Amino acid sequence: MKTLDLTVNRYRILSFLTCVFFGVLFIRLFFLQVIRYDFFYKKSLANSIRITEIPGLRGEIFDRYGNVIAENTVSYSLYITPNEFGNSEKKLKKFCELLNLDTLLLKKVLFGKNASKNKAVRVLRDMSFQEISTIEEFRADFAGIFIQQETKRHYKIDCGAHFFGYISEPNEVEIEKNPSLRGGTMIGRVGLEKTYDTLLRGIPGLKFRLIDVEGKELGPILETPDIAPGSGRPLKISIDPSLQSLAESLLIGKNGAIVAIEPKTGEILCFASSPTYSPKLFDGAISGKVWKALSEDPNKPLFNRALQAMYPPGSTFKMTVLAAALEYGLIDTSQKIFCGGGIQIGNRFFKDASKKGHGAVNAKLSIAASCDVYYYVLGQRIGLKRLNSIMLKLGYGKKTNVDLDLESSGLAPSEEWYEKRNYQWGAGTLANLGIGQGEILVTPIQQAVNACIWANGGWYIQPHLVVAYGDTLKGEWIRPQYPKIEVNLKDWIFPFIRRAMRETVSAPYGTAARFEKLGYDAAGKTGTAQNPHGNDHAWFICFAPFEDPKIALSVLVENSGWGGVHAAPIAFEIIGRYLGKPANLFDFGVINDHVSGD
Amino acid sequence: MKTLEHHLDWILILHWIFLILVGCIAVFSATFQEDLGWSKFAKNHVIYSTIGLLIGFLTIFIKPIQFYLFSYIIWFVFLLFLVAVEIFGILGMGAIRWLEIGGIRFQPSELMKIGVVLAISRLISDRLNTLNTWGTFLGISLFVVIPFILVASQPDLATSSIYFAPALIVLLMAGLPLVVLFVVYFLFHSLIFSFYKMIWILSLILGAILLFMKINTKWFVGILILLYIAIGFISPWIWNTKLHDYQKARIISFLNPESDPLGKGYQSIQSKIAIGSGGILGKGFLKGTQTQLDFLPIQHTDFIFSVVSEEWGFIGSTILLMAFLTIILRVWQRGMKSKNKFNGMLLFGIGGVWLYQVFINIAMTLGLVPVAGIPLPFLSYGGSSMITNCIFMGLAINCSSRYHLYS
Repeated sequence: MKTLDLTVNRYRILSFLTCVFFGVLFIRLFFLQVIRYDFFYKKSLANSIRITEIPGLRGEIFDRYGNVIAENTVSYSLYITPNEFGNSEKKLKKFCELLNLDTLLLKKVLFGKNASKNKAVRVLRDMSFQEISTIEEFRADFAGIFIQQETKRHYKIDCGAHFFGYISEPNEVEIEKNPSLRGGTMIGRVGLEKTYDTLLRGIPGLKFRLIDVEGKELGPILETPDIAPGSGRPLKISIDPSLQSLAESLLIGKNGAIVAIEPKTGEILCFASSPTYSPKLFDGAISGKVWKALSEDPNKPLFNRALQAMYPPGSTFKMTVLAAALEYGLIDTSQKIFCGGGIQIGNRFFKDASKKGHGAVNAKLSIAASCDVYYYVLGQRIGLKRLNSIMLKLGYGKKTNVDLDLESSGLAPSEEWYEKRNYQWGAGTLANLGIGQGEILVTPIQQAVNACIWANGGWYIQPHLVVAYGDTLKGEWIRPQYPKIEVNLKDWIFPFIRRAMRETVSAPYGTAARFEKLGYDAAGKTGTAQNPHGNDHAWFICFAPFEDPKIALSVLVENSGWGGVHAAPIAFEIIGRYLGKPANLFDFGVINDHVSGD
Repeated sequence: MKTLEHHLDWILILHWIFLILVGCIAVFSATFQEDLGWSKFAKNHVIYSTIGLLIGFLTIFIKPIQFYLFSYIIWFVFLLFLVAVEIFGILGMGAIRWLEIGGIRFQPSELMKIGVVLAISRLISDRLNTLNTWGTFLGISLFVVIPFILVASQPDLATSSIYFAPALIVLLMAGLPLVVLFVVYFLFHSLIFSFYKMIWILSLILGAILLFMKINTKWFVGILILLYIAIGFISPWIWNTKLHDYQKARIISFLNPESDPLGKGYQSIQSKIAIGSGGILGKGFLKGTQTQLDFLPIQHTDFIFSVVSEEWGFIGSTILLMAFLTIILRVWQRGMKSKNKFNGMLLFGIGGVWLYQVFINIAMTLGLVPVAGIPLPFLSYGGSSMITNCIFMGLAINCSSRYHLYS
């Protein structure tokens, strides 16, 4: 019976304690709702708080010498509080006429489904002086409008649009997904602004405002001061602005791309795609007209040719084929192949670029003088499987993983690739691949990486633009480590091919021999990619100086003709500028010479 | 089934339906927008409520022996869900709490409450005569501490702490000597007060005297005192020398994750303004200015009581409090009268969960305790919480209606 008593006892205590707990709640409720009613009622009328986000200042971008190239400057935005402005058709129409706005759109923004009618909405961003003065002039006619000072992105250099990318306001879908973006945060869309968006954006702050029953803002609150936003992190990038602007100016009027990399570090020195546009067009708000012109231009200035466009590599591919043949022991460096201006394979005659032919050609000469017959033969000896494996080793057929999005991976065709497409491949296909034609596709940045591999003698570092980003707390630069990729081929192959590339410039029979007198000590390879849709594309990939390469680059000019004529001079201008020995190519008489053979 | 119909506990049933209706009205009001009318939340809440009622009513008609037989298995299955959260969980509100199976997203930590209550009810009703043994202690620890650790690491300390409430009440009502509880508390006390040396020393002296009086095995008391002293010295030493500032900050925010997300006690202040401004009669349905202007970010979930209070005033809030109190007292009463021990323990366990949740949640909205993420049963928005509480209610009505039966 003892346990029963215990249970009954404890049951009584438990019930009693339960009543005590509820009693506490009841008394507190009575205190808040009955005794302190007046106090809280007044608070509810006036002392109500609204919280909005304040976007952080976007991180600045510095060039390789530490100068700011993208910063934030002051801009002015127009805000309207819908309920104060009033939903009068006439007023709305007049207002839109004054500022040249779309009446329907404004109505949707102010009084649409998702609009919060007592909260000011941003209607115009980055207003012109004229717009500001118009508003000041007619301010008395409209209620609930005010101009707010904000910041906008400002690109300080007039080039580099293709790596900067741009930022824009979040759209409705994005806001619905993440309502905190409503505070005016801008989103990176392409380029560095997109890749590093989270770093650049910073931590939003909070604004606390008193509002009344209707939701009108009354002012700040003493007890809860605003929380200032944290600025975004700055980026330091490897671009040399003078080189960048030179590269872009050399491509004016042409379609093409230039990518230059410091081979030892993988840092991109210039990254140009043409046609281009000024990044300043995207300072603040871009006008609809300009955007339309850019996106509808048949030359596609928004298309990033250095990164997204794919071309057959033409003769610049010959080092890869030679490396494959040497690696698998299919030819030795002294063995000669006779070139009489072409070769018969099956029922088709494959021509050499030189009609007379090169005579007996060994490995070194095949690169320097760019003999096609030699590579028709090698292509067949190597076969698809081995060629594909070497191509992958040399960075083809996959993204370089540069820190920009939308990169194409090019195409390194394999047996499976042909089989999947029911493509009958044979000796002719292989011969064609041997000279970098046919199905192979590469991007200009892949070719720049390829140049780095030869420059370094068998390795490269993942190409990148960002060399460091700021740690906002410590005020230090953090340098990300980029992977170093070794190309595993027999050791002696790289020095041999490097020397062959050097002869392209240094030997009298080299396809770029006329640039030797510039004294840059350069090594390279010309290329002329046949293009079924029009004129040939001109290629040149190179590095300099030969002993201690400081720059490696690839130049592509669409539909222009010989690589040695249309791409190589551009490359040498850039090398000259970067090595600090600029030379006027016209003075050297190397521009207007007619050079054949590629 | 004749007996069941005769004894059906209408008090619980009617209060249950009443609370669900209040919940629907409150969530509708909390998420009401002038041009939208029925919000997504309000529609979902009505659906959850309907499903909850159906499942709850079905639960009434399953014989308690079935729950007894399956109790450990149910606990184990829910434990697997919790482990699955650790592995495949979905991130929401800064923590991983949800699991998605076949398109249905739920919070296993809520369901686990049922598992814990069933498992400890069975364990204790089986071992009524060997309560004060290491075996029972180990069993209870297993059933409570494992889910506690899993949920606390999500991190969701608030929900995980609920598991202790039913265990405590069931043990007490089963007749566990108070001194055992005191031993456990004694060590915990040392951890908490090791930073306040005066209190710590006083408690040591008083505790030691009490332990020597109540426990005959003296060497055991000696070990306890040594443990007390060890904890008291080691924990400040670890805190001061071994932990980095960021680790401390992490621990503090872990203990109180929602401490101050928006500035000085923003939610607490807003909740008090909403409740206080409701007055005696309230501002009326859909008239609560604080509610309608979205001052409370999570008012349809954890702060639903402030919505009811603002719109229905002191009178409405008191009625709501009385409804909860009636349910809990009824559960205690039938738990005591139950002829079947498992049914009795089950009732105490369920009552323990509700008492803890209702008190902490309302005390939080009234600004009496810090803000913690604990929903109000039957009223807060949230499918998992609704279904869990409805199953509890089904079980409670079930056991309560059969209180006179031995099986």
